Formats: sequence, structure tokens, C-alpha cells
Amino acid sequence: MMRQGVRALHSCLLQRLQVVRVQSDLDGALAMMPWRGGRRRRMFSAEVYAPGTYLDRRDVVERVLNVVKANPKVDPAKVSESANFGKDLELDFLDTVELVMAFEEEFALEIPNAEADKLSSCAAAIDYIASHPRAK
Amino acid sequence: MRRRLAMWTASHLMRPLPGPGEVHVWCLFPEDITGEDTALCKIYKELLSPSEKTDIAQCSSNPKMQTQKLLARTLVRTTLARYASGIVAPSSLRFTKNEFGKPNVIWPVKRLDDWRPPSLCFNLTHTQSLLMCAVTQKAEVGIDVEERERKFTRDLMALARRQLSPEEADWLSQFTDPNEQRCQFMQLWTLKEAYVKALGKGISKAPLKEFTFTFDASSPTVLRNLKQAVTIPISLSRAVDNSDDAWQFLLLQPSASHYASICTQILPSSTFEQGSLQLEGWSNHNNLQVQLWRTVPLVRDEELEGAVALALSDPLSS
Repeated sequence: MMRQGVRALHSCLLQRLQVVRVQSDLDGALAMMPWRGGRRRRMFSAEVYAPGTYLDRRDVVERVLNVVKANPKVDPAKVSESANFGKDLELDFLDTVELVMAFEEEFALEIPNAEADKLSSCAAAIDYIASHPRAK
Repeated sequence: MRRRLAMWTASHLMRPLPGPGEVHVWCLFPEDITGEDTALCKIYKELLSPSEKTDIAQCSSNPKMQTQKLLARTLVRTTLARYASGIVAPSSLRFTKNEFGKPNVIWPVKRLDDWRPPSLCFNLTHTQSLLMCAVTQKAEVGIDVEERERKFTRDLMALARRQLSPEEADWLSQFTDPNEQRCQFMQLWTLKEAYVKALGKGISKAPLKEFTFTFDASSPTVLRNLKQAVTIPISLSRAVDNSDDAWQFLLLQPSASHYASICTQILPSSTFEQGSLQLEGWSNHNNLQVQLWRTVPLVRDEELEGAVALALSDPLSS
């Protein structure tokens, strides 16, 4: 977790930097700061990623599986990390869309339809959310 | 059982092909196949290919899904074989998929005296309680069925905003009764799915939000061949494929508890050779001719009772 002082410094820096790709861990991010000799790099993405907001994978697994189990159409006994929504949980396309909407609510995310169409299993959802920098 | 099957097969060898503008729809209600018919299910299993059998065996923890898959493959195979004048057995058909997953059939016999394999287009859809296979000659076809009483776990309008076009979502938001809103959503949904399936290019080439179905309740039209003669016109905005294809849509209730939509390509009359047409008073076909059967494959067929047409489109050219 980020210490309070560093957090303040970090948000101050974010206001100055335009497009910066930072490492997912804090040390890597600090190493890039100009006074440490780091160079500002322009990356493809126009978004700024804040380090340290990737969720712990174990948390993601637990929360994703809970969302799936909470769905009234799902048999909780069949839910596992490897469960496929269609083949194992007998969900159809509309059911899966609703499940994605439940993930969005749980993790405070917006998942575009093009990405949502690829989430056909618990594992795919876990991977997507665990590697999403803005998941909460 | 065996004697019953043999008699049926003999008398149903010659099923005439669907003519131009005609769609044949074969409906299988799992409730018609009762628990005692495990012998029948064993016979169905014998119709399947090795890979289909493996696919079924792989969901052994899920008997309901196994039955669904068995019935789906049985329906497709027996349906197509009906149109082969007894020359081809259901088990000898092979299936491939195009790059977008749309299935295609490969006939095992390319030629026998004067007989050639028919140019059939087909599409399959199913829910737990009803499976439907639509067949046409040469015209691309898509079909989708949903249960009327389908349960939603989220707010319906949120789902509508996400999956329907903005105009469709606006239209849906006018319905204040939640039941009615749900029914209208399901009807729209089957129309959209049938269209995407008919196009056969996958959802990425026909994004659901980019085309709109509109119902026009002010001018009902007449549809032949279905029990309810009065239907409400529907129209499709901006066909999403770039070809000159024209498409026609029919929305119906195949039973009191289901909605289904059929989408089919309208072909120029030159597509069909003179000799194969059964015109007889049929001048220009701007109405779909749909025939629906209720079938227990290899056992019995009867006309589907109680199907109700809800809406029909005018032929659309893009």
C-alpha cells in the first residue's frame, strides 16, 4: 500500500505528466521520476495508469466467484475458477451479459461490449479484472 | 419400436423441398420425448458423428445439457435428411463451420442418377423447452427462439441500453408495465439474433446496437399460412451488411410460452429454374410462406398447432 506522503507526491506528479507508462509496482514508478534519472516515455495508450491499484489476484478470484454464485440462475456447486459460463454453468448469451454487468458493479468498472464478449469463463473474467488498473 | 420406425421412415422419404420464399420449420419439444424413451435416445445417439458423441460425453456431469445436445444434433440431421429423397441417412451427413462459426452441411452423395444434393440453407436454435430448425432452399436463413417467461437478474432497461440500439431502447422505455416491457424486449431480441444468425458473419460484423427494428402498429398486414392472419409490420433500418441482399422477418409465438423470429434472404426469382417452381397462383412473393411442424424425429410429424404470427416485415432492399 502507498504511504500517505508518497501518495500526495504521486498525485502531484500525475498532474504534470502527460502520457506515462509506469511500472505496476511503486519502486519501478519512482525510478522513472526525472530526479532519479528516469525518462518520460510516451506510450500508445492515452490513459494514465496509477501504480498500486491492481487488485490482489486472490481477492479478485474470491470476489468474482462470489458474484457468479450470487446469480440466481447459477448452481453454486458448479462454480470454480475454471468454470465456463456456457458449458459448465448453462448460461446463455443474455445471462452472460448480465453477469458482466454484475462484475462492472462489483469492481466499479466499465467493460466495453467487445471485451465483454470474450469473457466466457470465470478464468477469463478473473484475468481481465486482475489486469485492469482501475478495478476497485 | 423398430417396426414403428421403419414404417415411418418409408412413408416420409419424399419430403418436397421448400420453394422460393418458403421456410420450413421443424419444432422439437423435449416434453414429447418422455422418460421411457431411453431406447429412442439410444437410437438418436447412433445418428451422431464421433465428435458429436464425444462432445456429449464431455458434459456427463450435466444430464440436461447432454439431452439438449443430443436432441439438437438429432433434429438437424433428421431434418436435412428428409429432403434427400431417402438417398441419404441422417448419420452420414457431415458438418463444417465457416470462419464465424456458422454451420454448413456436406452431403455424402454428390450424385445418384438424376438426383443431386439440394442447396439447402438451415439454422438451428434452442431453449430448454423447444428446439427449432429452419430450412430454406438457397436463401440464407436465421432463427432464434426464447422463452417468454425468461427471468432477468438485472434491471431490464440497463440491459436494453447496453445491447439494443438507442432507438430501440427509447421505444422499450415507453412500456410502463414490467411484464409487457419484458415481452417486448424478448421479441426484439429474437429478431436481432435471427438477423445476425442469418448473416452468418458473427456479432462483430453485425453489432447489435447498429441496427434498429421498428414496429408499426398502425397498419396491420395479412399473412397466409399461419393461424393468426393479422400481423403488425416491422421494418429494419440500415441493413448492416454491405451487399444488396434483401431480408424478410417474421416474429411469432410457436407456442404460448415462446417467442421466435425467422429471418430469411429474399432472392430474385431468377435464382430458381422454371422447372422446380410450384407457382400455381403465386405471383410475386412479398409474403413469407412458413410451414411449421411439431416433430419427434423418426417417430412422428404433425402440423404445429397454436402458432401465432405477431409481426412481419415488408421485403427490405438495402
